[in-house]
Amino acid sequence: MHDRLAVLRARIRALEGRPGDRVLPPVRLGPAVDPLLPGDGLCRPALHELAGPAATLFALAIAKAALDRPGLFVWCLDEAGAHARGLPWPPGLAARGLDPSRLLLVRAPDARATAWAMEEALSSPAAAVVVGELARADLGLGRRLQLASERGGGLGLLLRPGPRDGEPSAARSRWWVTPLPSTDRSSRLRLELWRVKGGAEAVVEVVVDERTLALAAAPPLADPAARPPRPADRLAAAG
Amino acid sequence: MNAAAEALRLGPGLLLTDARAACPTLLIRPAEPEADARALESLALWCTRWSPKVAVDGPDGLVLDVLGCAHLWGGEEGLLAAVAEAFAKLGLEQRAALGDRRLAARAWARFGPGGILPDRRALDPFPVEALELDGETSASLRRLGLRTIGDLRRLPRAALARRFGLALALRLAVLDGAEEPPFVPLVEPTRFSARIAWAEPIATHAGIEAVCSRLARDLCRMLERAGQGARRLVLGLHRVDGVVARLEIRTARPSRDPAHLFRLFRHRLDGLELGFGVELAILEAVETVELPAEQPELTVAVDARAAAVLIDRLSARLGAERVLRPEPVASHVPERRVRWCPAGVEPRAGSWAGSPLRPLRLLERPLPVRALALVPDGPPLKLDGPIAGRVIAASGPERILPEWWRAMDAAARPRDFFRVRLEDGRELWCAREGLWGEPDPPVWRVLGSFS
Repeated sequence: MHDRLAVLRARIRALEGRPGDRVLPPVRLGPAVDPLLPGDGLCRPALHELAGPAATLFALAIAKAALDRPGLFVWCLDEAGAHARGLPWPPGLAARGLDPSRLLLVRAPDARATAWAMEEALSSPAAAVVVGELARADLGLGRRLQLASERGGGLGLLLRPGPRDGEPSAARSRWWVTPLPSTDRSSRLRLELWRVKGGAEAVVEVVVDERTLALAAAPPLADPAARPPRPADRLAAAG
Repeated sequence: MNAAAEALRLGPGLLLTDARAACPTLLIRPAEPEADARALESLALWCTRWSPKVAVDGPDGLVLDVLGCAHLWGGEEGLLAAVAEAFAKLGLEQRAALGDRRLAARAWARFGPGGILPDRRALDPFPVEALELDGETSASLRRLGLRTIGDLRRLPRAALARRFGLALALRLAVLDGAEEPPFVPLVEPTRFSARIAWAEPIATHAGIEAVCSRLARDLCRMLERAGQGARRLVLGLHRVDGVVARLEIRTARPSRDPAHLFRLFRHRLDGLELGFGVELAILEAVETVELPAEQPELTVAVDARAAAVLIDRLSARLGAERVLRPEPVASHVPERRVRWCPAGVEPRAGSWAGSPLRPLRLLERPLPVRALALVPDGPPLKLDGPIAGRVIAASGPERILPEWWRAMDAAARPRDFFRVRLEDGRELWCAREGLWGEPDPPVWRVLGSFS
């Protein structure tokens, strides 16, 4: 029902907007996140910006949901990023249901080449999801990436390492993702949606399923007395 | 030896002092046979303008198979005249000969006047050395008073073979029209090649791009007619000064889309030195495979083709070693589990299955940290160093042993891996390398991250 509504909405948008606009259902991130977004999910084709210490995990959760369409999963980063943060690791992706054979890794020599590769990949119909790690993306570059994604039809994820800044961006939504301490093996994230086109900013805490990367609303933490167990206890539990 | 040297009667074998006496202003350089060979090879490439089959012949010669090429220059005389003119433009001296056998043409160029060999008998007055025999055979022939090829021709062939070996008889047979062993051309001639030559050289990039685009169109039409797609292409740009720039590109999937092939070349043309201009451009499909006509309506084919186009474009600009696909390797050692291969190559099949829950990112160089643990073999309580924080949860250990059968692992120590969660929520994959009780204390390293 939601999907059909979304398609109809998108079709209306397409009628109003440029003739080249594609009609694609939005990327569904689950009932914990979708209501925060206009159109009940991350709109695509479009560019979204993710930053914060746990941005990679959130990016992969989005990619998993967006790879329901056929196409490549392109990951662009530069040498500095590869050294500082490492490469996406196929065994880790495969264990979470992301098919490594769809992954195309672009190791650009510098940030400029990364931006070029990301734009090139986004404007190709072959890429379903394009992740680009760029420390800086000014308004002009963001605009170009957004246009490229409209040409190609893929979802662009701008992964920004480093601190948050107030610079303007052309991304359709902007997120700040921090990990939260949690007691069990699933990861808990705090998603701060601090800018979204056509919507209001919001904050939500989610739990990421460690096998499927599905997002679910996090149950409120128990009282502080229920401290996380000490590592020695955990070890016994993990056995 | 050039004409100037000949006029002064300089030549090989002359003593340096005598040469200086004949020409006091002589400049002397030690011989560089390797540099000469390289120069000769580039000259051979330059000669592909007359025939695709060219090879280096000895230390100072080139051989061209011009069968079926001469008519393009108005016959054999025209071809020789064109060769002479082009070499003169380069400032090089040459003597070209044309014959129906390589051996005969070579003798005609080296021992005779050059030009077109009139008939086989014309070689009769030539010395026996023209047969390219080994020194011993020609010396013993001379001792017997057999000085010219004509002398040998008059003798019975069978007796010659018995006395001087089969090689001599075979050479004589070749002069009489027997088959010669084929020669290996420097560049394998291709079935698919398109060329454009101009009277006036082109020295602008815009001009070269226009030419390249037209060549791509011509070549793709040929490929389409033959039902082939190109995997590897070479664009040869012959510059006026005799340098041939060869640009090679590979495609991820066989292609005969002119716009795509042109785009791949365009990135490479950007920084190209054009010198005084380019007078001839040849585009060849060096490697082709069967590519049946496709129906663009088939969505799967379109996806695969679009992916190949994207991979080619990225690889052409950044280099194939920067556009990668993962290939699974059967290894328990995390650093060896993945091989990143150029995306244009079809990845080898393998399985990713059976992976336990692994980190999302793996550092290229593990980060050494200090760790505090409750018990020697236990998980860390606290990390210190480039990554620091109190550990609130940990699971492990998972022991991964080095692959002792590899030489590089001979001195490696077993590692215990832990997945740890720090106070601030970050999740890391770290390992203790070595065991307590060994002479060297264990070392902790962070290998990857789960967030």
